Amino acid sequence: MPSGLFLGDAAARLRASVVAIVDGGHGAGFAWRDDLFATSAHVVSSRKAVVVTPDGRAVEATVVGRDVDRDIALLHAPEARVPAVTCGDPYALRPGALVFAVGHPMGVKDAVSVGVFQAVRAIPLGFGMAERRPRRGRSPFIPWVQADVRLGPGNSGGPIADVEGNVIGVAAMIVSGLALAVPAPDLERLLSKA
Amino acid sequence: MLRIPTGSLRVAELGDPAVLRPGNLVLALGRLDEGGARAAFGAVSATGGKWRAWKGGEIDRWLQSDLTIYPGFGGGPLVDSGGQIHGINSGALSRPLATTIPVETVSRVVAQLLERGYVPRGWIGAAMQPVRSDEGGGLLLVSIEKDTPAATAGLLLGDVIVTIDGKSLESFDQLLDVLSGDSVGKKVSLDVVRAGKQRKIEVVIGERPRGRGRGGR
Repeated sequence: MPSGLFLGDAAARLRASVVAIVDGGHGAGFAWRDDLFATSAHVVSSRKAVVVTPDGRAVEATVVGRDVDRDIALLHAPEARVPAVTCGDPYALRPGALVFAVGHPMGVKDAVSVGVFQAVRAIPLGFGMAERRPRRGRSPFIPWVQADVRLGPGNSGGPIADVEGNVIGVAAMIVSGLALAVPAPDLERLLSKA
Repeated sequence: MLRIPTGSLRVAELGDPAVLRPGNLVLALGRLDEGGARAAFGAVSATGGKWRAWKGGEIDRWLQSDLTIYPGFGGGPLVDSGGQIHGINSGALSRPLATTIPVETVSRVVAQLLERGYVPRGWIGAAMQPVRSDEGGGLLLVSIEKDTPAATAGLLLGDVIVTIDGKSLESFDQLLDVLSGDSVGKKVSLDVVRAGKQRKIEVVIGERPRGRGRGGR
């Protein structure tokens, strides 16, 4: 495969949908559909935030949905006019499939990092993270998209996508070097409630 | 080494780590839970000649990658783009780097384990300290255990070993190279400086009693 073609188109398409979210701190987010933007709940602490579009415009956004347990939030930004991403299915991926993340690690705008998909399941033992206690009506083991992709501060809320650029998860955190993302279907569920 | 019923798993295809070059794409594989195998993806970062792990084990080739060796990935294979296995990954041998124990080292150790159940190490039963003099360096004997090859050969505390089989001896690693597993039973000739005079002493290398670490050669 000529190296110039490697992920080039998919990355360019996805980068056009990725924004910066400014709310005290900085994080990433992306156009999910119809003026709605997805990000991590820990990136937006108040009801309002500023979305910075790929062409550099700063527009106002309102938080319309938030699930702190799942660490995702939805913002409404009608003036952003950013093309929405296409949604992928992490449950359809095989371990070893190429994936990539877009975010702003250490403030580097729209940086792409490439790696491989590992699993969608609860975090394995030995990763220094105690499993959350079961609560009424909730699974004790929440599933995460787990991928061998290097993320940094500023990737939070950004997309992780399959090789065609379809978003499979929202980058949430790094545990023992392993990238964890909220599975895209969970985002869909929050959207249906919002 | 573990034995499993014959035919229950497909045997991996081994590669030749000598062909790997920095930049070659590689995978590390692991299995952390019942969710199946996992992969980490990266490239060979550096290759080189033989080296010694911090506990003294000789490793035939330096093979470093930018792979993340996640918890549970240690002991897993390094796989090239053709699916061939080039060694066993370790995050602990040279932390924080990801290093791979190459196929040739694995094969050598496996053969020794199958033959005797452990890896034999040469041993003379003395502790030493590197020293320098005007003539060069040497190893100063600081303790000699009773009934060991060093004691039998007549080595004394304070002797400085300056050559071994005609080669100058200035570091432990040079001595460890001589005391490799197949050296047991061999006779080596030492040039020793005792009270300012050089003399020759012959030592028959013994086998290190099991359960000893790097101390007490």
